[in-house]
Amino acid sequence: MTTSEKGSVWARMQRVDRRVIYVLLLLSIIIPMLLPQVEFPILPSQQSKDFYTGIENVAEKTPAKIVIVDGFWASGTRGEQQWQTQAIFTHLMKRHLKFAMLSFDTQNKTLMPAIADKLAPQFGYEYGRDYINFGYRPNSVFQQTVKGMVNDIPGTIKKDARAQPIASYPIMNGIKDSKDVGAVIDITPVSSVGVWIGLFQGASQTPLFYAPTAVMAPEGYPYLDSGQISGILTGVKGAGDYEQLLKTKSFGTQATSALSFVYALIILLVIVGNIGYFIERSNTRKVNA
Amino acid sequence: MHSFFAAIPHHGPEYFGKLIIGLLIVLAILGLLHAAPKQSRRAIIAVFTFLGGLFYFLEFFLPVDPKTNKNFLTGQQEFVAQLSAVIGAYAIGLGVVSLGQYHAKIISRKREGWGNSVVLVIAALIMFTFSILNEYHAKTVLFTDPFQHHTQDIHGVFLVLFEGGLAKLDAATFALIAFFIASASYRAFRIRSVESSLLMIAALIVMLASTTIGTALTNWLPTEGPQANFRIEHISEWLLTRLNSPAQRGIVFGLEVGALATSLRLWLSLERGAYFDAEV
Repeated sequence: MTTSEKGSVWARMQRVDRRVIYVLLLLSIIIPMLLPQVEFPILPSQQSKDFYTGIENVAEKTPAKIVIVDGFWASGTRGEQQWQTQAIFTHLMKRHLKFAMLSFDTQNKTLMPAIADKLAPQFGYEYGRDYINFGYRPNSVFQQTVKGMVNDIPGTIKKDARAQPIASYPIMNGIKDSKDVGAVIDITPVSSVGVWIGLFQGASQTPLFYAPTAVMAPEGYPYLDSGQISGILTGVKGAGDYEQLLKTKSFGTQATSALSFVYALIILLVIVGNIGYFIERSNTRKVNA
Repeated sequence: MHSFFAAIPHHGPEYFGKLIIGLLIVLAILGLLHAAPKQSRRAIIAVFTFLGGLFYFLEFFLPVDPKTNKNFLTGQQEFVAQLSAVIGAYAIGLGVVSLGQYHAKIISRKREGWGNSVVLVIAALIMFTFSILNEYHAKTVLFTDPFQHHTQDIHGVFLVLFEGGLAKLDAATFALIAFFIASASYRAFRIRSVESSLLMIAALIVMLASTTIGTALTNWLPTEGPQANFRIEHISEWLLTRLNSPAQRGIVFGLEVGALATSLRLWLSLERGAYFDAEV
């Protein structure tokens, strides 16, 4: 096959076989994972720092209040949100904040509590005393549940995931409505933050923290600007940021390095494609002239 | 009525009694609706839709007692929420029946891709069966491993299906998207026009700033003072908060105004077009 049949180098730079891209992508994920010593310094974003400082403020100003952690994520976004959840729970437990988990996804009802149960012994946390699982509610009653909790948390939730009345647990002593909630943390791959802002945060000015997947993060910026969201933890990079701020190391830090390689690969491919496109276009113009 | 919806153990004569009564009531309502003249059916649905919306509208806007932070409708929220959950559950049931009928037709006529329909129906039936069995007979031993003498109960099989099957397939499906995004961004980001160039440059800066390699590129610049503005993470920050944010806000305003108009049309049963002009 001649060069002309294959096309010029510039044309080929624009048409890299997708299988080559897939292999390169796979390698750029696997290699940093297999070599944890390949690690770059992480600079936490301002939004991650705001998230961290916000939780610190809750711990200092309203330590007796409960934090509600809302989980909408499932296996599909586990790669990002498991590590966000782990970093957030670690911070809450480090600062001895009481928290309640609430799931609006059938998979999340087991995924999120498993993380809390795993971390609990490390920080001396006890179920019912320091944390509680409000259980799963169908997505179809999300708005009604959030609205109901504004005025009556025990009346809306009634029983926890272990089918016991939540009011019977020591953690719920003095927790009646949204005024007794120190913060809401929304860990989600969907547009659920608007409901929390409209129905809950707006009613009692409760600090709201947003931990979306990377693709959903831009949606949160207008609310960050208006002060309705106190911090954003963006995808697995956010988890890495948070681990850095907590001075711990886990998968979030490792995945952030892998993510760096993936982004670098995509940027490189885009540059290569554009160099090919630009030079080929210039050559065609010269020939036509 | 509150106690009718109260959480009860999912077993025993009380539960099954209420389940049967509930089903009979719903079937009777559906039967009456079906028997009613077409115009009356529309009117009945419109009245219930209006009342449902009116409840939340009034509960939200009516003044509350400052002592309790409630108005006279607040206490009924739980009942209305449960009612809407029940209607939602019937809608899901209707969807399952419809899906079953659709795929049964494909299988019986052996249309193209009928094998996929067989897999879907079998998978749905297995998952449905083990979900129900897991609720009532989780500890029942299904079989014993002849080699390791290890018993497997229904809960174990359910976990294999749900966490080992569904959850993993879900994760794998999402993970595959990364490959398509990488390939698509390589092909789509071309300097063809001013707009596409701006989009590409903005995307590259935000991507670079999200990487540790990218931030290392401008790490030599000071963190304070005018020169700090040229650090890649600060340029990305500026793009996200000063350009993306106002644009997002504009989009959200437009969406919300549209959502308000659509909600009003649905609430007042004025909506026409797909699904709304069909015979009910």
